[in-house]
Formats: sequence, structure tokens, C-alpha cells
Amino acid sequence: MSILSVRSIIATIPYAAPVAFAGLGESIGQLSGLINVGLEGMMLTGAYFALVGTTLFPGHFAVEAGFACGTIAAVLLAVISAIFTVWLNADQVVVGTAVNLLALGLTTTLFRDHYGQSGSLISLPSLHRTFGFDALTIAFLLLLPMSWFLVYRTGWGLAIRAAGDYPPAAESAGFSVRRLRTGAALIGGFMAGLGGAYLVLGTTATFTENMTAGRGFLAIALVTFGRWKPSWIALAALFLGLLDSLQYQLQATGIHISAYLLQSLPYLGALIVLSIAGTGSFAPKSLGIPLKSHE
Amino acid sequence: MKSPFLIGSIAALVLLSGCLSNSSPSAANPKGSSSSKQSGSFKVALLTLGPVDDAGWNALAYNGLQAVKTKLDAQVNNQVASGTQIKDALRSYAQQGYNLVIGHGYEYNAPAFDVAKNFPKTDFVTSSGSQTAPNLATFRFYLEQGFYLAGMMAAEMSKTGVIAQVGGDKVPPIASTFDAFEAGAKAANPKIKVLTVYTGNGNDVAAAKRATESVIAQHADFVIHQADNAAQGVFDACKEHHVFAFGANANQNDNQSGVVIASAVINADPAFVAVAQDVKDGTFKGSVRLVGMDTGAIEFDINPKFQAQIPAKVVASIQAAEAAIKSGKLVVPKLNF
Amino acid sequence: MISEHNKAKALLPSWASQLLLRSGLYILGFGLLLALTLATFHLPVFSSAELLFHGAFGDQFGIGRTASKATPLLLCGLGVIVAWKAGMFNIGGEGQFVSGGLLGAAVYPVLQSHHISGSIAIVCILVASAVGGAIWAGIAGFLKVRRGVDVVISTILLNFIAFQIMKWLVSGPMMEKSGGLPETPQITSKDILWHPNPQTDFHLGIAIAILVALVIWWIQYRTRFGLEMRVVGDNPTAARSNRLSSGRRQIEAMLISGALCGLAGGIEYSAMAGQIGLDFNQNWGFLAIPVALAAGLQPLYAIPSAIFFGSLFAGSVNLSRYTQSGDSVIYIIQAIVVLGLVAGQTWKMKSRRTGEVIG
Repeated sequence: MSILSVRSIIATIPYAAPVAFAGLGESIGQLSGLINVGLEGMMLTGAYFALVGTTLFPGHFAVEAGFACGTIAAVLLAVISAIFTVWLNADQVVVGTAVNLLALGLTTTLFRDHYGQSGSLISLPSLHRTFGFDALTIAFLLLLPMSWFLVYRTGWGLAIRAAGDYPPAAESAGFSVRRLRTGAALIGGFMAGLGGAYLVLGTTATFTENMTAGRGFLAIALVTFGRWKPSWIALAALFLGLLDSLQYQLQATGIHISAYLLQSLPYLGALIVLSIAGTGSFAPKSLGIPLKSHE
Repeated sequence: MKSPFLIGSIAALVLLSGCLSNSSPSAANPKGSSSSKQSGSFKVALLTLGPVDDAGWNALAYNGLQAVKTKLDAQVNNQVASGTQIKDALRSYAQQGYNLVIGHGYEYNAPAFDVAKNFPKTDFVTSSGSQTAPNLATFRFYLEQGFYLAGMMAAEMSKTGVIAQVGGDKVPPIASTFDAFEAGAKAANPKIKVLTVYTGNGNDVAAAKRATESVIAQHADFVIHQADNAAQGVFDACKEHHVFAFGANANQNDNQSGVVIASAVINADPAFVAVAQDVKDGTFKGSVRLVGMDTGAIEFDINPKFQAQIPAKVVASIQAAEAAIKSGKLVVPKLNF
Repeated sequence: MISEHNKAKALLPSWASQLLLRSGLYILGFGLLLALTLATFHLPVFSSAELLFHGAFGDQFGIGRTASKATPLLLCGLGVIVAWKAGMFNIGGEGQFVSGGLLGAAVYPVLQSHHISGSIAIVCILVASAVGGAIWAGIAGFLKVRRGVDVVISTILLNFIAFQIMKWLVSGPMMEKSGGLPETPQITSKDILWHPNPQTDFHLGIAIAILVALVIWWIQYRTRFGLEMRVVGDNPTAARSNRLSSGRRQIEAMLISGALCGLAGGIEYSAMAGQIGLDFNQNWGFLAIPVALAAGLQPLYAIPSAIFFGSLFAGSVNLSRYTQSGDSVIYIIQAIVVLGLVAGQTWKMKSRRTGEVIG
């Protein structure tokens, strides 16, 4: 099977989607000037509470309940994060680190307490899929032009970008930068939760401790990789997914390249692209800088 | 504290996590904290590399420990320890007067060899590993025998002529079982093609599923795994693409995916109980205990649900091979590590 | 607390009383927090706390456990402090820890083939590991200054690259020859960093780390170079108007930061692990961030902070024997500590600028 056949691309979508969801949300956050190092933790929280939702409400709407619980939990974490970074001017990297620790500790503790003794692997209901697509990946395809339009063609999007580039400009245009950034942070949390929940209910139909395995960090890299453009981020996620798939196919054909080295390719690739292109002209200029520095 | 805000935020966070925690009442209770007060009784400890809720390699050791507890009335305790925590964990159990400390994985062998000479009153056992001492023995679970039979079955039943194995990290215990699977397959059908893929992460379910899909895309119709926690990803991929899977380490035949045709199983209970009995009786010997199908420690369990789909010829040849393995006529290849 | 503070002031120099006050306050606050968190997860507070305390300080094993965990936390925490003070948000401590350990392990066979052993070998290993960490952090520093690549993003990527390279090396080029296990060869016992009692994990590393903390404090607060590094982070505009080469200082800060994390990796390799296997990275670089923050990014305060967090992790080992989630609860405590500190700092700043409304 060729790597670039339509079938293999479609087969890659469920694996690229969690990172793409989180990356899309993160791009809006970054455009508003927030870098969310806690993305990994928010995805993991989304994943765990998707499990909780699905098991608490078995029946016809188990999957929906899972997505609802997962996104709500991740948004709650985003609220905490926004209170600190936006309203208390705390350093974003610090808060992100704390969010990751909190999520790892909370999901592991709760998982072991509530599901650890089951003695068998967890098998959950999952999204219905036709021709390789499910409701959420289709929704995501619709979300791409919508978010592009929102960010690049509306007044709110302009204000968001101003908040990320030069907050005083957004303020003088009558916008509250804090409100803009809070909104962006909540969207980011929602999308991260969706990504985590999708990993559980769309990609795998199970949960294991720390199952996000660095996907949140990969999503942060993807945003820069995709130059803050929704469609580029989605394409970059798909590209990395294909690379991953190529990696497994090479292994299966017995080509003796270390699997470990092959698995470093996405990160190495992102780093090379970043260092060749530089980020200066594309990156939001106030990315990561607390608001008070501008006052 | 000087800051009411600080206290407020901490309280809010703790309350929040409290609400989350209360979503179901079955919370953790310290296990064994009351029994740890007894002294002078027979004490056995188990160290695992990961949490014992993996329904696989670590879980089977935990079950073995529970068997020791009930059969020998032992006081038991277990802990997760990896990397640099290993020596410390071995030592502190020995220091606390444990009679037997079991380290479940080859990673424990070298540290245990180092620690054992300073704690002659404690006996140590590691699962896998080649170094032994008067008070250090190793189990060598001959899981290769189960994988060999699985390879035979897959090769005899495969319609596409392609079968596959999906692993987590490429470590000797995993590579050795995969070699045995391939050997069994080739013995049954020299033309069979065996694909091998490692994900490099025993926790990443999505990666395990992706890897499995990629071998299925290359026409594999039987997949065996050594993916630890991530095994469910392998089974799910097999379910979606209507191919058969094999369970490994634990009996995974009744996995909800309904694709597990047979399992290569380690039954640690008798081995653990036997070694603990030796320790209790004072007859412990520091040797390599190769435990295989002849003692019942390794089993190849065919899923009864699929009996109708398995040709009688295949069952017969597997039974013949199993008998040959048990009698020692057929020696399954294994790596030494 | 206040009267204690005054008494301490009379007896001790002001920095020491500050240190005492700060750590006293923190320990009190953390004790409260610990109790609350344990209670929240239905763990019996007193017996759990007793288990934690016994695991951390109960006997010579406990003290060794605490010291051996405080060592990488302190060194990586210092690495975080140096970089962050210069405005470089290095969150790649873990990758630098790994690359440091790897270079140390790569040098060891070379030393052996030249029959160099004992303390000279150990010094060579530690220097090599510092260099290894510095190179890894230097890449991020260079990319930031020359190419404008955000340090947070590049260090995240470099972490993952370092992990994969490590796994490749220990299962390939650097693998020990005999048993086919994915590990580097074991260091012989005479080349292991000095342990006063080989039966405990207490080793010379904690002394090295404390010494390094003093040196870093001296560089940061008693030299022009250190001042410049801090100015570059505090106020880039002022740095520029004083004709400071901010880029150069930032790269240098990253090099030092990486060297510290690399040294932590080298000590972990030469004192604790003795070899590098697939599980060499135990998240110390990541867990050191809260250590640095709890210390208010001050090198001297990092010492009690590292010992405190080290004891928490040491104690949690003991706790995990009696509850399944004994070790994961500690992450929650760390997170809440960080958020509490951040909130506390904000409140302090807000109270200084009375009347000013935020937002």
C-alpha cells in the first residue's frame, strides 16, 4: 500500500485528529498571546474524563456523555489556567507546568482508585465511522474554514490577533485584552479536551495511564510548524501522522532503521523547519508575555 | 500564611479535586497497613516496573503474590520501582525483614545481585536475568513455548500468508518471544511472511493501534502482541479490520473486542508459591528456574468461542507440538539475557 | 512566626534568617496542603504523613533516599533558575539531563581503555556530562538568539529528540556487549561516585549540588556577568540601552543552565544508575521546575526547596507501598504548591501597589 494513497491518508485521520484538535485550539490561544504549556495535561484530563463520562452514563449516549465530560473537565482546567495567566498576570510557562502536574497526578490517582482493580483491559464504545470518517472528523473539516474565517476575517479575530501582537492596540480599539485572552484560553481548553476525548473515544476506545504520551507537546510544536494557520496546522498533523505510518511500514518490511530514531523524526522535522524559517515574522509578538508588562 | 488569597486558592483547588474524587465512592484504602504491624511472620514483597493494573505482565505477578498470601499465609506488600529506585526498594524491603523479595523483570537482576550479598537473611528472586547467588534465584518464564504454538496456529490458519507481531520497547524478553513466534510459524509453513513492528512505548495505545493497522494493511491476518498496557490498541485494530489476535502474558481470550483466538499465558501462581515454599522451608537455592509448559507455568489457551472456526487438523498439530514441548522432544528457541 | 523571625535576626545574618523564615513558612503551608490533599483522596492523614516522613527521614536509608532525590532536583532547579532569570524559559531540563548522562556514559569506555579510573575518571565523566547538557541547551539558545525560535517550543522538541536518541544509543551503538540488554555497560564499583556507606543511596552528589548552588548564587549576585544575565531577563530594553549584548548573555545562560542539568544527569549516572537504560529519564528536569519556583528563583533558597521536594518524593515511595496512588498524589501536591505560590506572589505585588485595580 502506497503511503500517499487516498486510503492510507484516510486511515491516518483518526490518529492525526487528536493532535489537530488540540493544535487548532492552541493556535487561537497563541494568536491572543497565550502559550499553553499545560496542553498535554488538558488533553490527558479530557481523555480521562471521557472515560468517566462513558462509564457513568452507559447506554445510547455513552460516547456523547464521554465527549461532554471530557471537554467540560478540560475547560475547567483552562479556567484555572486563565485565572492565573490572564487575570493574575502569572507566568504562562509556570502555570502550564503546574497544570500538567495536576492533570497527571489527578488522572493517575483517580484512574487507579476507580478503574485499577478491574483486572482487565478497558474496552469502551467508540464513535461510529463510515468510510473512515466519523462525526467529529467531519465537524473538524468544517471547523477549519470557520476558524480561519473567525480569526482572519472578523472583528473578534482581528482583536484576538491584536491582543497577541500589541495589546495596547486592542485596548484602544475598545476591546478588553483580558476578556479576549480568556475567551481564547477557553477555546483552547475545549479543543484540547476534545482532542483528548477523541483519543479515547475516536482513536482507541480505551484508556491507559498517561496515554496522551506527549501529544499535547507535539500540538504546541505543530502550531509553530503550521504558522498559526488552521489549515496548515491540520495538514501538518496529517503529515506527521503519515510519517508515523511510514515509519511502521518500513519497520514491517524489515528495513533496519532504529524505530526510536524514526520516531524522533516529527520532532526533528519541526525543529529544522522552525530554525530554517525562523519565527520572528510570523509569531505573535507578545506571545507568552503577561499583560502587566504592557501597562 | 500571610496570604488569604493563597489559602483561598489552595482550598478551592483541593475542594475541586475533592469533588472530582467523590464521583464514585470506591476510593483507595491503605491496603495492608494494619497487617504490617505483625512481626515475625513470613513476609514476601513484589516489585514491578509499572502499575499492577495492566491486565498483563505486571498483573500476573500481582496475582502470583496474592496466591502466596493465601496459600502460605504470608504477609505481602508490593511497590512499583524502576530505574534508580530499584536498589533502594530491594534494600529497604530486606532491611524491614522480608524473607523473600521478588523483582518482576530482567531489570531487577543486576541490582539484586549487588544487594543480595549484603542481606544474606533475605532471599531474592527476579523474573528473567542470568546472575545468581546463594540467595538470588531467577525465574525464566519460558513464554517462548506459548508464542511458538501461536506462531504455528497463525501460520496454519492464515489465508493471506502474512502474520504479524506488535511490540512496545524492543527489549530481549520481547524480542525472544517474537523469535519463537516466527520459528513456530516457519516450522508450520516455511513460506509464511512474519512482520515485526515495535512502537517504542508500552503505554501509547494509539501507537499500538496504528502499528497494528499498518501491518494489517500489509495483509497480516493474525497479530500477536507484546504491548503491555497498550494491548487494547492491538485488539481494537484487529476488531475493526476483522482479523484475529493472540493474547499474551495473561489470558486475554475474553477481551471485549472478541478477536482473541488464543492466548500465550504465564501462570505465575505455582512458580511463586513454589519458590516461597522453598524460602519458608529453608530449602531455597540460588539457581535459574526455567519454568515452562511441563510445570503448567506456561499455557497456550485456545479460546473456546472460536472452536468451530479452527480446523481439527490445526488443533491436532498444536496438541502434538505441545506434547512434544512438554516431553522435551521439541526445544523452542530462546534468547539468553 | 514574627517573633521567631526577630530572634533569628539577632543571631544570624539577614540572609540566613530570611532563609529560615521562608523555609519555615513554606514547610508550615505545605504541611497544611499535604494534609488537605491526603484527606481529599481518602488517605488517613496521620498514618500517611507518618509513612511519608519515615520514608524520607526515618532511617539512614530514608535520609539517603531524600538526598539522592534532592540532588538532581537541586541541580536541575538551579539550571531552571539561571535560564529563567535571563529570560530564557528553558523547559528542556529533562533533555539536557539525558544528553549529559549520555555523554558521561560515552566517555567512560574511552577512560577505561586508557586505564583511567577512580576520582580522575569520575571528574572526567562529570565534566563530559556538563558539556553534554550545555550542548543540548546551547542549541535552543542559539536558535532563539539567531533564528528567533521560541525557547519553550524548541526545548520541548529537543526533549523528545533526546529521549529517542537515548533509546537508540542504549539499544544500539552504546549497548553493552555481553547480555544483549538495552543498557550501557555497568560502571565498575571503584569508579562510582563516593558513597559514605555503599548500602545507602547517600552519595557525594548532594554536597556537589549544594556547592554548585553557592557558586551560582555568587555568580548571579556578586559578579558583573551574573548581573548582566539577570538584567537581560528582567528588562531587555535597559540591557540594550546599556549596550549589553543580550543575545550573548542569553546563550551563555542557556549553556550554564544546560551544564547544570547535564551534571545532574552525570551524577545520576555515576552515583545511582551506574549505567544508562531505557528508563534513565525519570522526569527530574521536569519536576525541578516547581523546585525553582518554590525557591522564588533564588539559588540559595533552592537548597531547602530541593531537599523538601526530594523528601516528598522519597516519602512517597514508602506511601506507595500501602496505597496504589501514593506516588501520583505527590504530583497533585506539587501542582497546587506552584499555583499557590504564584497566587501568593501576585497578592504580594498587588498589596504593594495598593489601590491599583488589575483588569
